[in-house]
Amino acid sequence: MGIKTKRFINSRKSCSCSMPGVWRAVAYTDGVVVILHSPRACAHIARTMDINTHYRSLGEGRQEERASVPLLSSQLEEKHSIFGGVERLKQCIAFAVEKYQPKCLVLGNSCVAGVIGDDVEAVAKEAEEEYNLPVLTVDSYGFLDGEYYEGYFEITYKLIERFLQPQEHIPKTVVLLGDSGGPWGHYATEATRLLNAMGINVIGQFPGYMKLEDLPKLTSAEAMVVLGGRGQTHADFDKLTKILEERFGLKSLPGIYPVGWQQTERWLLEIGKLLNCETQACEVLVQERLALRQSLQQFLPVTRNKKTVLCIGRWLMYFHPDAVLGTIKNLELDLTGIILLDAYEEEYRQEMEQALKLHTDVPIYTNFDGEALLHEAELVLTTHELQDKNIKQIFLPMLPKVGTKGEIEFMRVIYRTLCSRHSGGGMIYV
Amino acid sequence: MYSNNQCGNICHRVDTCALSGAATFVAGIPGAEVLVNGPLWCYFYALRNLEHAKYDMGERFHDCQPDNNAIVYGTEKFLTATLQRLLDSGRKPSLLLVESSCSLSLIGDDLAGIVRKMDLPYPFVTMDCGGLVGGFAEGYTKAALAVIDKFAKEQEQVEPEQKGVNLLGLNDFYYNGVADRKELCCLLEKAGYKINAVPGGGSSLEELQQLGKAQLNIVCNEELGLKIAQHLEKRFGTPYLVAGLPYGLQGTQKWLRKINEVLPCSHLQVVLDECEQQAERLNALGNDYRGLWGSIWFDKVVIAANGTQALCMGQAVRNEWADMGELIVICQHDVQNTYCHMADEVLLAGRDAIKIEGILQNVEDVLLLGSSSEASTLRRRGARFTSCTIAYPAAEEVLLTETPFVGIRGAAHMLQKLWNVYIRSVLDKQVSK
Repeated sequence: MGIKTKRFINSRKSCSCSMPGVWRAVAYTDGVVVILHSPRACAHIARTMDINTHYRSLGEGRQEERASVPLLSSQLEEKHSIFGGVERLKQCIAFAVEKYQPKCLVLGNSCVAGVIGDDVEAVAKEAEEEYNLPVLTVDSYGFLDGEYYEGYFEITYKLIERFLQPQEHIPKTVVLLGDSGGPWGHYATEATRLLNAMGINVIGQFPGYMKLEDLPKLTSAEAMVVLGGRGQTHADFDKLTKILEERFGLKSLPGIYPVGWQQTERWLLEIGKLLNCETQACEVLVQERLALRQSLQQFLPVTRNKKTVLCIGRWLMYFHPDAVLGTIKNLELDLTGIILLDAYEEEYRQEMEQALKLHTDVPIYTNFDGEALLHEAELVLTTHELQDKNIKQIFLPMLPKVGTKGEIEFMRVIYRTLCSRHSGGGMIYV
Repeated sequence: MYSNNQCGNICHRVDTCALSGAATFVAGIPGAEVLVNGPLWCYFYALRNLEHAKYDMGERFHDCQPDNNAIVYGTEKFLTATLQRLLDSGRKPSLLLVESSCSLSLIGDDLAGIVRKMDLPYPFVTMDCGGLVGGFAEGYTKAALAVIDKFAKEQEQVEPEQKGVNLLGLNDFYYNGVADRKELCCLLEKAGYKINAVPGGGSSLEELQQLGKAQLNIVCNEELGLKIAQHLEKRFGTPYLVAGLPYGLQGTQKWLRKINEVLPCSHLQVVLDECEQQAERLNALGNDYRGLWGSIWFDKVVIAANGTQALCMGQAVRNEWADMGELIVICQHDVQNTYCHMADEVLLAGRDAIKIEGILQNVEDVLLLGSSSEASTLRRRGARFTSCTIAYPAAEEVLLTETPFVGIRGAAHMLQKLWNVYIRSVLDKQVSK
């Protein structure tokens, strides 16, 4: 029979859509209005993401500092698949300019617009001349030519092209790059806390969270700190930091992210070197180690030697297991096995197996031969929700929490799950 | 001509696309499954919508996961592989809907032909049903008509059912939809009607085959059910009544009397009496609270929900449940307003987008009966408001019990909610002083 997951995903590409990426790249950039050249419901998807972000922030005890910018849809209908949607888009642009008086318009393109062949680039150029304001668009049409991050990064590059100028750097200042829930999200608040503790100021978060009029300030930062992970976007952020480094002289830390405790230690020390504050970095490191150790003292009596199984169904490009293996080691959990779920093609399974073998000699099972193991485990850490309702599962998110606080929070969730005396299973989210 | 009024900020509105509307109708048939011929992204958003109401939808809702090359080379290999995987898994759905998303409906794949070639051992229906078709309501209706056309038996093949009624436009995926559907069925059965079918709301494929048995089609949510009723009238000659939703006790009595006028029932008085008894009880209990807190009063009430629900609730909230200075009703769908004459203003999402945006950006000291979409807009700008969730998305309240909003039980439930929110608003004002 084998272990059943709640979702079956075997697609390696076309898993997302470029339009929400376009939207998120400027979602809180006051002065911008976004138009999705799409059926109306596509914009509602972006809106749903927006609502979820809002409540996630509230759930984490944080209040967003400002509302998102207007999002319009050209509201393509069936008839436009025959006659084209360009006129509709033009009318929508005219409306947006009149109603919101934006300082910049951003156009996202749907797969429908791509299939019917609307020349959105030409419409953007025409609108730019007519209304005398920047009108940015992308080559990605929905899921046809790229995914979420194609839209996100293409707009980011265009913002850089249009609005940034070289200038003098202010020592010990950084700009945060990336989204991860914005300035009020966990990643940015934890990174900012650690940076401030080293005497480093954050001047803004780009793209998406600086006002249009504040964008030129971005290049006054001494360095940039990427709010990323070792997943899919790693290469895109590398490219982005190279552009900002070459054109504006901002320093960067390529490929180092505070995901998991070991990486957080490394991140702190490297930031210290980058911004000439190694002494402060070492001091902060001592404090953070102390905080982590104090938490471990609370957690270890419960977590030590508890039978744990790790289930992985994500590809290595989305999920690197080293951080979770580090947490398992710190909590002294008894990792009895690792199960690779059936979402893998052989090539990707081997890739994950090799990565795992570099970090652990724990036996690796398939979803068929590992099923019995699950029922003996006191805890299952998993990238995919398992259908068996009797299993106590902790879901490993695509975007894990970062820094010391993130690591402690993750460990606390494991600790509380093991403290729980509920007889049934269930899914717990970090 | 495209009206600029339709082009407002989408951030003040949430609707899902036809893909999820169609899936909703079919998911309301026990054992039926859906296969989306479209990108994973669209699939996941439709799935999230369905999972709000039925946690096991992930097992009944599938995607063929085409890549971007499918736009050029077609989706046949992806569809065939997924259908084969479903066959191999041993699943035997009572009905399979295979629906194409908007862009994949434009490439000219012979969806029905591809599925037919698989020689499936269960019934299926295919359609193009993405965002180009419209929103949730358009998809729901399109799927309903396709299923009825393909499976409903001709009238001469079925025995007419005395006092038999079909309830149209209901679904389990509207907020509290299951509880409301059960309450409506219960009211009608108590009154002496026989529920023949609730298409998209729990009736099996076999029951849908017998749709022509009913003597009357009762349209509850007009945005979903009216076109189905018109279709059934044309095909079977069955008359229909656009009845709306019975909120409040007077609303419930009026609703039943309206149905009784078209198709008299045997026990109308039994239900009317029950309404009276409940009214007496709620009034007596309410007196206690009125003595302590005064009457329920709100300076302004904004209701934002699906078309029929918003209007019908608008009528009950002012006529029966609370006093207020001003009532604004925002309908997500265009329906005939035969339900509500109590509102100071009735607005339609889309057509009145700019006005709605203005209200949500400026309103203060308001009771919102709506979804977390409107609530988040108010919360983000720091508005003073209280709210009751009556529609999806619903992030601010937990709904685990099956207590309806409609009918006799629903009247007590809604009044309870309003009392609690009113008392909390009075207390909050004291704290903020």
